[in-house]
Amino acid sequence: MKDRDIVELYWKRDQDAVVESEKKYGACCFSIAHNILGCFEDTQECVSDTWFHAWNSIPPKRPERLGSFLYKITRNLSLNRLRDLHTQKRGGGECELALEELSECIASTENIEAQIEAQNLGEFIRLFVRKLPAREGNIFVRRYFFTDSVADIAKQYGLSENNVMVILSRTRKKLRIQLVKEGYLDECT
Amino acid sequence: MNALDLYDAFQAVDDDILQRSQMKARNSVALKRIIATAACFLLILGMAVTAEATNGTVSNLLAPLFGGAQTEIVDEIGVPVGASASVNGYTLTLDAIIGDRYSVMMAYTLSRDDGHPVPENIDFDSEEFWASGYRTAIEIDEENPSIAHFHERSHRNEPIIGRIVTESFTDLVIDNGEEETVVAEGTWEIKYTLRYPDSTEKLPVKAFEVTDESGQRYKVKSIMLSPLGIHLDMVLFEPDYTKVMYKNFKISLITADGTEIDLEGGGGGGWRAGAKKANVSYYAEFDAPIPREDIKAIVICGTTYEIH
Repeated sequence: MKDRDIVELYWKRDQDAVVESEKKYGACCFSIAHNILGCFEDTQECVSDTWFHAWNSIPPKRPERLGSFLYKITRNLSLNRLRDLHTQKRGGGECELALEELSECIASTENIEAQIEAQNLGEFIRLFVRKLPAREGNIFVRRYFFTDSVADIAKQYGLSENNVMVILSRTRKKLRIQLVKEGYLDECT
Repeated sequence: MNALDLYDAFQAVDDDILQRSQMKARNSVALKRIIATAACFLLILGMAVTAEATNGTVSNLLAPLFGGAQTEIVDEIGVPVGASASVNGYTLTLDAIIGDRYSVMMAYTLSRDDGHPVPENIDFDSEEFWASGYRTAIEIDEENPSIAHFHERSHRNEPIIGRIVTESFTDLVIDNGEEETVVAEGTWEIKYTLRYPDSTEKLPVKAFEVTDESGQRYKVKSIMLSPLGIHLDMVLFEPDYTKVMYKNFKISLITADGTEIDLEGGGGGGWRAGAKKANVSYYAEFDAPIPREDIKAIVICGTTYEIH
């Protein structure tokens, strides 16, 4: 079923909206949550909550890209759950690795000029990713939005794992340069 | 700010980019790309060329794909195309294609019209394709640096022979890791017909069941074999979206000399939530063509299907 038809079901308050959403996007939402949380029970709960949040958000919202809309809900719920769990453990698996990689861009928290509001940082990341060449942007997003493993990304794009790691490393370097240029980080960090 | 904040900030990535990133390899008909192509439309200097493939000796044209292996098969089922488009001093030519009922490989050459070397790290900024698949990086020819080569593989879950397809490549850029420089602006559009011999053979299969390593059960209904790959039509029992399809689906070939070749592939299928079974398909490609007579058996999740 096409996205617009599923969204129409939400607007009609037809519960098939959830069935169709789950059928079309359930696997990917599950994968997103599982990559972040690494725990089957927590993952299932976040995916179930995704349909609940979507049901409560549409209407009034009318997302043009339902998949992306649902993925963001799942990711947000999973990150919130991760934060709750953070004092005990940090998810594990691919998320742990992705966070380690991203910490390279920050290097140290001591020399950061200021606390950046999440919204500003989000806008910065949005523009940064949009300006990347398509292939680099896709790979970066697969790694740090969907938290896919390097092996899975390599398979998806027909590249070697080493090639993917090089692209990610170069893009993180670009990100770090931009973070410094925009004043999010000190040059010396 | 810590790594988790930075990770969280990826939540703001635009929806069209998320959608684009989900398409396999370079099947990226993202909104940005459509807009970019539209914006460049008036700047297109080259003409799209429609070419009908004809039979001929093509193993040399397709050599970059298979490293010169199995030239007899390649010459038999591969066809030259020769469709090209020239834009801003660069000419893109689709030299040849080779395929089966579900999948096709394309060998492209990019050349500089002035005979100067093609710059290192050159690539197209965006592309539009007609099927899922992948494309290799552009590699400069060692003997003639004014030309470079790349190839693609496209696949659909339905027969593709006879289709007229178009591929568009927009803006040649050099990415040195820190910044991107446009070296030639415009769109190279290649339109051609997938006309080549159908080397796919439907094997006489009495449906049988297999179970993959994650416990998912499949009934294999049909096996289509070509020198380039294998296509399975199956029924998946009790489909479960919480399991990644085919993650532990093992398939291999046994050749005449007893060698077992593990294959990698992928596939898909859809079903309603709560469905008891679903029609799914799977395709695995070979690294190089394999003559039909050299394939003695196919092993699917531990079950051996002998070919006579």
